[in-house]
Amino acid sequence: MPTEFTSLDDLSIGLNELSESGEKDLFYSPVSDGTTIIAVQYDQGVILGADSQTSRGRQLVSTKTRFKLARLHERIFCGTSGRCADSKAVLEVIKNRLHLKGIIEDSAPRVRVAAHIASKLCYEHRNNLETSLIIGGWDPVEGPQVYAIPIGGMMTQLPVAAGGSGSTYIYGYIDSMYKPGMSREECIRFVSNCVSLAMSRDSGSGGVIRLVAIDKDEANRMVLAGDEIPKFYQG
Amino acid sequence: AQPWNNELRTGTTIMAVEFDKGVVIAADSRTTMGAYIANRVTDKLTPLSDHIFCCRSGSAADTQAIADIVRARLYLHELQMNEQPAVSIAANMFREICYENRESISAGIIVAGWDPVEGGQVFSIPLGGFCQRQSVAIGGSGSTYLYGFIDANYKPGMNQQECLDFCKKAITLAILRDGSSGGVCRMAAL
Repeated sequence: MPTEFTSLDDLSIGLNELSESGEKDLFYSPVSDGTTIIAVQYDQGVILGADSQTSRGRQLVSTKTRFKLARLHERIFCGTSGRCADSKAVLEVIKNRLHLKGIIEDSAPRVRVAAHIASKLCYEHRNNLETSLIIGGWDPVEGPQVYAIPIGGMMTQLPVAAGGSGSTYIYGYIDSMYKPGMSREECIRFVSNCVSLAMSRDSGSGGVIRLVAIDKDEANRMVLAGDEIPKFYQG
Repeated sequence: AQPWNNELRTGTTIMAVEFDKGVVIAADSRTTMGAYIANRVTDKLTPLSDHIFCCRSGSAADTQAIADIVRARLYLHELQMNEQPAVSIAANMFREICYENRESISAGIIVAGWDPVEGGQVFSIPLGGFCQRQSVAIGGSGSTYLYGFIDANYKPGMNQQECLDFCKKAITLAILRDGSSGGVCRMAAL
């Protein structure tokens, strides 16, 4: 395989050789979030956490510090996993529709409404989309809420929701460690632990831990990088 | 194929932990044929010799056949050497068979036991036939949900009771999440 691609011909030879050896995955797979996203609801608010790595196939990390917790509104954030392009497109539409609803109704949109818009969109286009969302936020009507919208468009409200490829590795940890009635600091520690554990086991998750803490006063974005990431048994 | 006509699989959760005086092994007890539960009280902890066990996951037929072969070979080895076989020998026998036939079988095995030379040892031999000694090994379909829990909660230097509690909790968590694991949690301390 030519080591220097000095022309398009060389590049296509290289790609052909790669595809014969079965490594086509590297160049031809869509950019996708092998991801870990998790959201936890506590008495006064919601904590969302995510990793920050995007990969193409499982062999190339294309971004190391992507921001996966997107802001839909002041107190409503959404974590996405699945195909990047689908996630971005869906988020744009949800943001617009939510903003419109806020203008028409002349009040801050509710989290349930945001989740409903998202799930309707995902369901209508379920054959073409490959993205799953976790929406967390606070509103004055119902307080803190977390909604999970997996692939297919079902919407369900949960106290703790995890998604993305890395989430499978931490279900056991979540089931054993989550208890209702945790404080804000406990929730933040719980979420960072979950994301850290998933990052160390899932090749599609990595980078830094991004957190958003939402309550009635503020939506606070935080980052845990390098040494700040909780450490566990590595054997 | 009907949902109940698929090949018999131990879609499983299996686990083994070393502690100072030996090993603790644990498994769930569900064998599935597609969506049908063929056996809800399976024993996936198979003795290979007095002090060496293996935990089986993957295709039930493949793992049973391989375990029988290894048990026979290990017995011969014990007769010839006139001493208790080392756990690494049993693990190596598994590795040989699993690697040679890696294209045609589907077997994820954990070999765990105690011998007078090295004490308690756990060897993990996943699909493909790679053998590695670990202090705590998990396997089977339910094990993906346990990685986070194990990383967070395992500490070296536990005693037998702590290991038993740890395994019981882990298998229970996996049974909660994995559709192919269920039934009872079988455990053994060697």
